[in-house]
Amino acid sequence: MFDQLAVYTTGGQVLYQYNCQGRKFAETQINALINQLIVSPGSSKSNGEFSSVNVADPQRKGVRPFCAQFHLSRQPELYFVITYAEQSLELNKEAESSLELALALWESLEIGIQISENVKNNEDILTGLADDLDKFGEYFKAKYNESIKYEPKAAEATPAATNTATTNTNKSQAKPKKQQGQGGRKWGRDGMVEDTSNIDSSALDFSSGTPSAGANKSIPESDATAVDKDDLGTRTDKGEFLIKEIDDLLSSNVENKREQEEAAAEQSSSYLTSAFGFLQKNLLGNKVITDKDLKPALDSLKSKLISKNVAPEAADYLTGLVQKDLVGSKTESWTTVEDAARASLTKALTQVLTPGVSVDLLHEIQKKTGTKTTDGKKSPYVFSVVGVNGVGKSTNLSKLAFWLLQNNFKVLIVACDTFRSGAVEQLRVHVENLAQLMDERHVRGSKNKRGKTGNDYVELFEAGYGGSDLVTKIAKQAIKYASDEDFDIVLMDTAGRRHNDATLMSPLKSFAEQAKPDKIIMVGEALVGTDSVQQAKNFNDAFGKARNLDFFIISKCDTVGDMLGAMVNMVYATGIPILFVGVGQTYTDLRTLSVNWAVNTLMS
Amino acid sequence: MIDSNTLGIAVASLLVLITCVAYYILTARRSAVSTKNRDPALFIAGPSNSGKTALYTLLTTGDVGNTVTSQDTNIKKNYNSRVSLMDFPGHVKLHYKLMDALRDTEHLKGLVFVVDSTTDPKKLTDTAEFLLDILRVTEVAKNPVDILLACNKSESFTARPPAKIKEALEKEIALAIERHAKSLSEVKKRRDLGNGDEDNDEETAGFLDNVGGSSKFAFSMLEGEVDVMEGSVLKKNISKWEDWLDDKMSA
Repeated sequence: MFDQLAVYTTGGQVLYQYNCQGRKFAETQINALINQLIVSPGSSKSNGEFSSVNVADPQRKGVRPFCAQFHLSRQPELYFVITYAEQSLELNKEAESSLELALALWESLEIGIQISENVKNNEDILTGLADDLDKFGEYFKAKYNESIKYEPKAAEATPAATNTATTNTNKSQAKPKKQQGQGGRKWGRDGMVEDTSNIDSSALDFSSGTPSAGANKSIPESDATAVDKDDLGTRTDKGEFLIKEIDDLLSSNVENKREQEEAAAEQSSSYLTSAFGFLQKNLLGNKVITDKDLKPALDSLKSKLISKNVAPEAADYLTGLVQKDLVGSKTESWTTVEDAARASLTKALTQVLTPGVSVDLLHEIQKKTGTKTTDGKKSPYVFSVVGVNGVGKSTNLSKLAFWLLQNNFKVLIVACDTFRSGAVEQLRVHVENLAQLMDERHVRGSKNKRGKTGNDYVELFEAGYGGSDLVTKIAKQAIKYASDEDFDIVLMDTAGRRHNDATLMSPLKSFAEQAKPDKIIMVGEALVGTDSVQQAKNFNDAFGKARNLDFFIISKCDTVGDMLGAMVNMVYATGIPILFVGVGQTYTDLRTLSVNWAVNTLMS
Repeated sequence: MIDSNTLGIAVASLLVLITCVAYYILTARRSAVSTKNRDPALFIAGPSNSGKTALYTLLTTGDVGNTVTSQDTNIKKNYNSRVSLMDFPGHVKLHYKLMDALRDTEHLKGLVFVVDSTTDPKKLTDTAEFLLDILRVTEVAKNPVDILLACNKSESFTARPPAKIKEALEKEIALAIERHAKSLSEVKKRRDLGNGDEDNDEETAGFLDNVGGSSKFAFSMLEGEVDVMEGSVLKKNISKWEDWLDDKMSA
């Protein structure tokens, strides 16, 4: 059995909600799903009409991981979502068939059409729909319960076009019993309640949504069971009537749809051939955009994106967004389809590149270093930097260190790259430079009062070269040392590693678990092409399920001109924001990403 | 046998007509690039889960519906005479929709910034940053925008009084301004991307100078008026906000 069914608009208004377990509907679950879809759209897998997604949000407590299948309808834009506990063949199938059922019912009751009409007339979205929504809820529950009673297959509607007389009388009976429902919210009642004596108790009893499902066990009151018993006498009878009625509705709808489609096809073909259509498309605007109109524009935009180093996968996703945005909509006056597509792509790019969480590093550092541990010591804020070989991990780490030093933090730089020869020496040079920048009197090569490279502001923590177990040892020692010696920030440099080599990537997980860095930063270079998608994905997955990357630094942006595609790829693949970009060779050449700048550069 | 005079006039008038049409198309296209929304509007904004869409539904339908996280803007045209009411999503990734609209709307009658008054005042940092982002745009506009800090969920046991929320927000905004000054600067445009952006930058800096001069921030320093009022969408207790809205719409 699935958990919840919800139908809601992109604006966030819930049209229909149903908790299958008989509990109170949990919006938090739907919110977690929406949040995930907004932040990392790449996480949903689409199979034809439906998309499925696993929701597990480590940041959000109180929401256990769950799965969801959803369908996004166009015109009006509505989400149909079914959530369920876990991925299994049976549950997936059930969710799919239930979703199919819900969609078929929705369409046959013509609720979608009515909503479109309301939107067009600038009415409230639910005007005159309360009855229809009640009916939808009632039919869905009846049909769903029927389907789980026998066989999952039963959900595929079998047209039973016989006995119209009974269905007609039933329809007239069906009308009056839903007057109670208001605004589509009082759907919790089962559809069989008819006589007025029952309405009160059942209207209050929100948990009695599923008469034949196991959920009813949760109602211990004798009153409620009495009411249920009353229903039992007539249920089988009415239940069958109802199912027949629904089936009729569904089958009549299939024919209608076919007719409509044919008519639409005829209309559009005649429309296109006319000279007026051509004018509208290219000059006048005010044209309803179809897939066909959009295709050339999308193709040219896609090849342009790819020429800017955007991976085909990401380009497909972006143009898909544009298509979703535009098909069926009307171009504004005096704009061509190409213009509209460009504007829409700009929006899509902005949305992809905008961070999903606000990252205010200074605030977070202040918050953490401001709180003392139980023994009165400071707890330092720990960064660790990961990435492929030669992307500029040490360089960007030093740039970050310089910025933090400017903000009066004491910084400890830790050489966790114990693998590549010269890595520690390279960091030492950086520390010497930074120490000199902070204090002109610093003598290069001298040791500070604790006998280490650096001075009062910045210091290097090193422990030579060795295997991967040495890395976690150094990391833990360094954090303890920083806390003892009153450092604010610990910056850990790690060894560069190939992202598709499991033996190199696996130590990262234990490193993150042991060192517990506050922020894990991945440095990616703007030079890399399509591979950036895999790089970001693999590094993000390397830390296990409980931990993700926190943000990206994109280095070498000054070397690629306007080919900033790698940025889009990495954010698209993981949903993790870019915080900084490296734009030059000196310590001050680290910048915050400006989304507008990136989008304008990509679109130019 | 057409008179040559008539022909001349016909040709001339045809030419004039063609030029007019061509001119009209060209100007219209240019203006289409920078579409300004001339209709007056009222905005509802605020962080996620503060009750914006619920307020919007209550205002437009007189009833509170169930809501989930918005992904798109809700628009009610002609909410009151010609004023349209817009409810923007609160998700951080979708803030750009609000920012774009703030820049493009010429006659913004007012902005309702909904705050969840049950939030711990210490955790208002994100809310303050968001409000600061809005102020950066509204304060440099020709007509400064009046803002209502609508402290929603006053029915809750843990709700803070509006005065306290205002104070906490002022404090957090002051801190945020300080932090922004220390943060790394944004990537500068390598190419000339139009003068409009640069002008904007300077003006924004000006606004911050005014405010940042005396390390303290208070809403009274702003050019637009900021009012703080409590209310509860769930209990339909929003008469104070409605009065404010009526006031702004009639202005």
